[in-house]
This record gives sequence, C-alpha cells and structure tokens, in this order.
Amino acid sequence: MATDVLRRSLTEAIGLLEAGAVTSRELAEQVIDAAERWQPHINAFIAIEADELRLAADAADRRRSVNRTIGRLDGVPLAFKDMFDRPGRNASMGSTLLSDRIAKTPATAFARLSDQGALWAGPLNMAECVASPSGHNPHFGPVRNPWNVKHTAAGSSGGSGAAVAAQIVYGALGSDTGGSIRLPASVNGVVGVKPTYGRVSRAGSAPRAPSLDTVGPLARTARDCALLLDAMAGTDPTDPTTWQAPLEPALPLIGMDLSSVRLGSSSTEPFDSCEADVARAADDACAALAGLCAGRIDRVLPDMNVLYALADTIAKTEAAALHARFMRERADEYSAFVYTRTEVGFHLPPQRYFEALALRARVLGEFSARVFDGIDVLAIPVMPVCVPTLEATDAATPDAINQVLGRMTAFTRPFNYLGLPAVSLPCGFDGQGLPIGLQLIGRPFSEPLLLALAHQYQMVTGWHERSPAPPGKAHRTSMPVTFTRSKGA
Amino acid sequence: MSEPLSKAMLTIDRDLLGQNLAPARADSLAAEVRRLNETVRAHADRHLDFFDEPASFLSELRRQAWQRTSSDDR
Repeated sequence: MATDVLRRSLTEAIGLLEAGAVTSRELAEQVIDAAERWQPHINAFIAIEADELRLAADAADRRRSVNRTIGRLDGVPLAFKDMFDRPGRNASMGSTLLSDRIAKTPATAFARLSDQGALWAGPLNMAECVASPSGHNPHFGPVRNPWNVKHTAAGSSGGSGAAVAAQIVYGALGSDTGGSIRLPASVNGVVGVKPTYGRVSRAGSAPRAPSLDTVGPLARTARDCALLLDAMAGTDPTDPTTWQAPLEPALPLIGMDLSSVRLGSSSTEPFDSCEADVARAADDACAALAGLCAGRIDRVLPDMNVLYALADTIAKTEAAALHARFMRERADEYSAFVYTRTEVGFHLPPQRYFEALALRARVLGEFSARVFDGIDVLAIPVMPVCVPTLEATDAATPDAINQVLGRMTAFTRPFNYLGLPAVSLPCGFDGQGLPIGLQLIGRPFSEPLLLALAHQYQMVTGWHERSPAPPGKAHRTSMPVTFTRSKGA
Repeated sequence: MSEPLSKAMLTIDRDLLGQNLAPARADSLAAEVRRLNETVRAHADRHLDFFDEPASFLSELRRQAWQRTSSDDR
C-alpha cells in the first residue's frame, strides 16, 4: 500500500485508487485510525461511523474490481457537518432540539457527493444551532484547533475545518451564513469555499438564516475544493434559489491562464486595523498573487460596517423566526450565549428586515460597479485577528463573547449579504504557529476563477503542505517558512 | 425609530417569550438592537428606492454573473 496516504490530497487519493495502489478499505482503515487518535485531542467528530465506513469501502472496492465505479469520488472517505439530512438518521445541528427528528430524504449536497461514490466517516462537530464562530458547543464539547488545542477551530463548521487540517479526511461538507466555512478554513489552515448564493442547494441542511445560508466544501487544496464543489453544485428543484441554468464548472479551469486577471486589495479602513501578523501575511500573499496575474490595484471598499449591519439584521431576524417556538417551549436547551445571540431578532422592527432585503440588489449592484470595475478578484484577510484561544471565545458574558466574535466575522459576514463567492485559503502563520487565511472574492458565480487563482497560489507557495503534528508529538514550530516553486509548476 | 428602545418595550416583547430578562442584558440587548436599527434605517433612508423589492436580489446576482472570456482559456 502507498505510504502516508492521508497526507495526500483528495485528487492524489483518487489517483492512487484508480492505479490500484491503495484500496478503499485501506483508506477507510487509515481514516478510522486517524479519527480515533485525534478525537480525544480535537473533538472534531460527533460520531465516528467506523463499521459503516468499512462496509461502504468494501462495496466500493467490489465496484472498482469489476470496473463499475459510480463516480469520480468512488471510495474516497469524506465527512460532513452534522446538519445534513441522511435518510433514517438524525442530524443534530449541534443541539438537542432536533434529537427526535429522523430525516426521510438526503440533503441534496450530501446526496450528490454520495452519488459520486463518496464514503462518509461520520458527522462532524459544529456550533450549537449553526449559530456561532466560537468553536464552543455546550452539548458536544468544543472543537479544538489541531495546530494548538488551546485555540479555537472556529465555526460554525469547526469540526469540518479541524478534521481536514488534521488529515483525517480528504474533504468535508460545511455551511456558511456569516463566515462558517471561511473561518474554520482560515484558522485550521485549509481551503474553504463559500459559494455564490444559489450555486449549491441548501435543501436538507439545517437553516440558520435562509436568505444568507450557503453550503460548500473544505479541503486541503483549491483543486480538491473545485472537484467537490462541481459535484454538489447545480439546479435543484427542492431549493428554488438555485440557479436554473448550467453553471461553469470549476475543475476544468484549474490551470487556466491568469495573466489577464486583475487583482484588487484594500489597505484602507477597516483593513488597516488588522493585527500585524495578519497584515504581513495578507500583504505577502497579495504580492505573490499579483505576480501570477496582471498586477494589483488598491480599492476603497464601501462601508463594511453597513454591510455587516444589513447582513446581521437579516441573520438575526430570520434566526429568531426559525427558533421562536423552540425558544418559547424549550429555552433550557439553549446555551445562554446562543439564546441571547438569537433573541436580538425579536426586537428588531420588521421594517428594518424588509429594508435590508429590499436594499440587497441595489447594494450588490453598487458594490460590483465600485469594486469590480477594473478588477476581477478582491483579496482581503479572512479575519483581522489571529486565531483566538478557546478561553477568549468563552468569556464570562455573552456581550464579551460577542465583541470577540464580531471581530472574527467582520470581513466575512458582509459577503453573505452580497451573495458573492469567497474562497478562504491559507497564506501563512502567526507568531504562535497558527494559520492565517486570505479570502479571494469575485463576481457572482466566479468560483472557477477564484479557485484557479487559489490553485496557482498554492503551486508557488507551500502553506497548504504544512500540517499539524499528530497527537502526542510536539506541534510544529511557529516560524513561517516560504516555499517557492517555479511559476506554473 | 428615533427614540432609544426602552426597557419597557423589551420587557413587553420578552414577556411574549415567557422569559425573564436580566437588567444588565436588557441594556446590552437594547444597545445592539439600537445599533442595527439605526444603521439600517439610515442606509435605507438614503438609498432605498420606493420600487426596490427583495426578490430582485436573485435577478441582480444573475445580472452581475461572471462570464469566462476567451483570454481566460488555457
């Protein structure tokens, strides 16, 4: 069997399976072993479904042995945030509120990956009620960052980010309402895609704020994310917000010529207030990206605080409406933090909610005209701050936590309001050895361009090739190292 | 709403939920509601057209959609 198979990318694992260098059962055993070794340290899984994974892997091997594979992902172990429906199973949503609910049909994104042959290692830990980037969960325990277990793995898709970063699985499903894919991708040092609103069906996934919710992949490389995104994207009659026309797939454009692509960044407020390590890493990354395309232009962005407030008004109003009955009847099942975070929505005047929705098309049009006139891709940090500790995101009062979490989501939530695609990719490490992430943001449905640029960046830098030390070994040193390869390698 | 939200109003809404609200939380909740309320209202006052409507957002996403050009090809 090929060695170190879990260190390989998803794309490489598929190649090993196709070449007969490894079997799905061998991959499954490696995944189970890694999951069980890491679980006491990072708590990424809600359940490791080892027996089911073994059975599914054996079935995949039988299909492959008679040349009847069912798709590109046949026999590859993935995992999923525990908010996606599976027939006959319960999805916890990181809470006890839905513990009696058994799904009848699979979530569309989950089903589409399964239809391509993906195997599932189990449901991943996540924020209570999809409600927070803190990394804490009062019901299942916190997800810990595999780079340093005192720090948060963020959220709400914290288990997804941690499991991929720890090289337990090759990719994972997540969701993003205000940063919940991009933040875990950033703090765990992996790639995450918040798709354009409407690219991937949300049908069968637990909602937080349906006007903002998106479903997307996390993986270690941009190419792997392109593969997963293409498998799950497209029109779905059970989610009427999905685009009713063929979409440009991302994978075929990996390797495209980027010499005419115009990169934009911003050094004005609020981006001038990033912590020093974040500012340095983002600036270095923008310089490297500029070298891959037609240079870099500085942009002054519209007021991010206004965009944030518009998004937050929608998020809190919709979450309050969704949770109203549970909050009346089962308030004791909520943590104080999630309860107080949600109750704001009960007190916002309905006209503010309508205004926030009604302004959305106009604000998107103006943002596109102002920002994307002259550039194709906007590059900004995912977070203005370095990765917080779990202690910092679990302060004594909800208000204190909100201040920390508000900073974490300051650069992510506005793009859920705009519905724009954003790719989070690792671009360095802070002084404590924790990852830093950069966002690439583009016009609606430009995921192929964003992932192509992210891929080229990964070809000339090596941040994604670093990995946290396995449990029991000292974590790797904090000093960032620049890996340089020839352009286009 | 030009007047700050009163604790009384919060208490009334809160009673609808059947919960009791700690005074310290009432203050911070009122502050958060006021911040969102005032920011969104001010932006709407300046920019919202009488004929703007929520459903047009999906149309705008499609109108702004990225198109691959020939120079993007390999």
